[in-house]
Amino acid sequence: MSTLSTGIKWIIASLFIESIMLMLLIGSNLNQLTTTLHDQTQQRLNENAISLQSALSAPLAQMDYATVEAIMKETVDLQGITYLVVLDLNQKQIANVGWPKATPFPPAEKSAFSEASLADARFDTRVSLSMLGNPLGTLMLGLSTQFYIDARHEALVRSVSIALIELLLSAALLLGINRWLNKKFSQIAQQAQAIANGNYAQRLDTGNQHDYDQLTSAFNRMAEAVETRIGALDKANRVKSEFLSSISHELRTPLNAILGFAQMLDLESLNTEQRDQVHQIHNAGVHLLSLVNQILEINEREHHALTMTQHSVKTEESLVHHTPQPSHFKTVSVLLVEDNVINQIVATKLLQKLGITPVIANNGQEAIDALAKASFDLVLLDIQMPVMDGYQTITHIRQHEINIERHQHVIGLSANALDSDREKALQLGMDDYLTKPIDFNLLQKTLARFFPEN
Amino acid sequence: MQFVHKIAIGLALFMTFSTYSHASEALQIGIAPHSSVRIILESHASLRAYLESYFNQPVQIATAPNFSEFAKRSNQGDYDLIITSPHLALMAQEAANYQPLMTYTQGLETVIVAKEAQMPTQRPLRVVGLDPISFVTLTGLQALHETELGVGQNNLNVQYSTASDNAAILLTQDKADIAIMSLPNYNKLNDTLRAQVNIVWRSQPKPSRIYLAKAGKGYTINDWQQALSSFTLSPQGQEHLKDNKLKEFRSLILNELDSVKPLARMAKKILEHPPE
Repeated sequence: MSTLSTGIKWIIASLFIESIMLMLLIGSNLNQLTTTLHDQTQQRLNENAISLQSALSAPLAQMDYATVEAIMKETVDLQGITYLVVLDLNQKQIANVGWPKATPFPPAEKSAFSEASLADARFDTRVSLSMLGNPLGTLMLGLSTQFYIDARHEALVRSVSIALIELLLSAALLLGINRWLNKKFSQIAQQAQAIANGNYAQRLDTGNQHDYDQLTSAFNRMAEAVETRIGALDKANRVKSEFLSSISHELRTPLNAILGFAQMLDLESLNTEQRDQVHQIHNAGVHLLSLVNQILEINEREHHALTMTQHSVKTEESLVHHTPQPSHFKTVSVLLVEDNVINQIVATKLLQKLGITPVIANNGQEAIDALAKASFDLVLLDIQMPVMDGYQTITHIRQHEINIERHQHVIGLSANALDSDREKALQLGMDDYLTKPIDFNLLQKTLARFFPEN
Repeated sequence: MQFVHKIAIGLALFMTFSTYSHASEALQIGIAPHSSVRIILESHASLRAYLESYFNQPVQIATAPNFSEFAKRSNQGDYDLIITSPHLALMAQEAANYQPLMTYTQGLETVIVAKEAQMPTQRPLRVVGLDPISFVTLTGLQALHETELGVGQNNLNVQYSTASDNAAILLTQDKADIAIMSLPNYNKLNDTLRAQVNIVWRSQPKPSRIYLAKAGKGYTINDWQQALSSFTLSPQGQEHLKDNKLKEFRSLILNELDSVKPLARMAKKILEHPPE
């Protein structure tokens, strides 16, 4: 049973109950039949007894046994009477029609359809004969019960056949309903799974079954509500994410200044106390940057399950302690594309420490204009800028250098610190990607990689 | 001593058997078929009930399809008590040791009825009787051919009818010249029919029904005598007289039935040679 589905168990239970009810019905019908036929038989017996009594009384009183026997012979073939025997008051046989000679008479049976009556298909009974209170004898009578046996058998066969057909039809109908319901539930389950998988736009076909409409509509309303809420949550999350990104980006600009100037001060001749204070400033800035990065990371993990690149933070942490003597990149000309004045100053100062005085462009458009007028060994390109952002600018640069043999080195320099930002920049054609606050050491190494001869 | 012992055992067995017989065997009262079975049973119901109670055992009234059959059974001793007409009583007494015990005070008169007021003169005379051996028929026939009417046996053409009213109808339709019936039956004819026929001869009253008993089934004649005496004095006995429009019971006087010997002889002859 445990392997059967719930639907099949219910069907079996329904059919079981129906079988019991049908059995009760058949039993009741057979009882009704028995009662009716019993009453009819009893009535027939009474009628026979009355007419025989009337017919036999006079000849019995006259002891006219020939007439008694003649009447019995005429009667015995009628209405299923199998034998008639008349005994006088002393139980001596007066007349016998139909009962085999030298055979003991059967005992009288209580009921027309008693077990004994049905066993030999004959109801053996006795009728006292009398007239006006004058006893005349006893009439022994055998009434065939074959008609009842046949009627009962026929009724039983018919009832059982109808019951079986009904059970089969019920089973077929219930199985059909079960299958239909399973199909519907399976559809609902699939749609629910689809919604669970994030496909919130899934809806059930309401079809034309009105009774099923309610469930389908309810399900669809639920799916709609889920889709609306998820949409709202997505939107809210997006706003939060954008806000946090913006915060992160905006915090990086002053941090760029703090860390940039701290790094620059570190390169100056300082007494021990001053150097220690610079280190404190730098460490505090690094710590603040770490916090900004963590906020950004949590935000991204929540939303896109993306991870922050950790290397820049770690590198930044160790920068100040192992600052080598800066290299000088002469022969290198740099176009710094940056809209923020503080960042322009920080980048310019750091580049100057490396022997580079960059030309500054305030946005992408100015950069393109500048590139059209002069050539630069390297472009340091910010991403978020007014007029033309960094993405548009690198796309433009790469599109316009298809027919030119020279490759313009472009390194992204942005406060957008995510891996996805870096990947996008590289995909659009940037040669490398550095994040703000600028890690002086990393800047130096990167320039060294691009311009090894310097 | 051993012989006496055997007798005692035999007697004890006999007593046991006779007691058993009392309890199991029904007593039969044979009543001559002078009326329909229903009337016979009805008119003797109080007697049957009284005797059943008196003897404390089943009592059955029996009759016969006709007088001849009844006479035959009576002469064989089939009944325990017989109530019948005097000539058949005499025959039963002679043939089967029945003992006449009592009768009614009221006698039975036989009448000869014709369409005209006088005895018809044509010969042979077409006669309608009830039964060849019925007391009334034989009384009428005896009067016709042996005694006062002097018609003579050879001048009679006798036919039989089952009922007195039917016999009267035969007269009115000129299918018979005279009919023999009892005076009570004549009086029972409906008014229209009775107005069309006339009594042309009337007998002296003669004993009507005779009660005869036979020893057997554990009862003696004396037992029967006592039972009947008791009945005559009982309310059931009075009821019986009232139902049958009779006055009283009376005992038979010695040799009272001798007067019906000729009728008994006639009846015996007819039984031996039944008319075709």
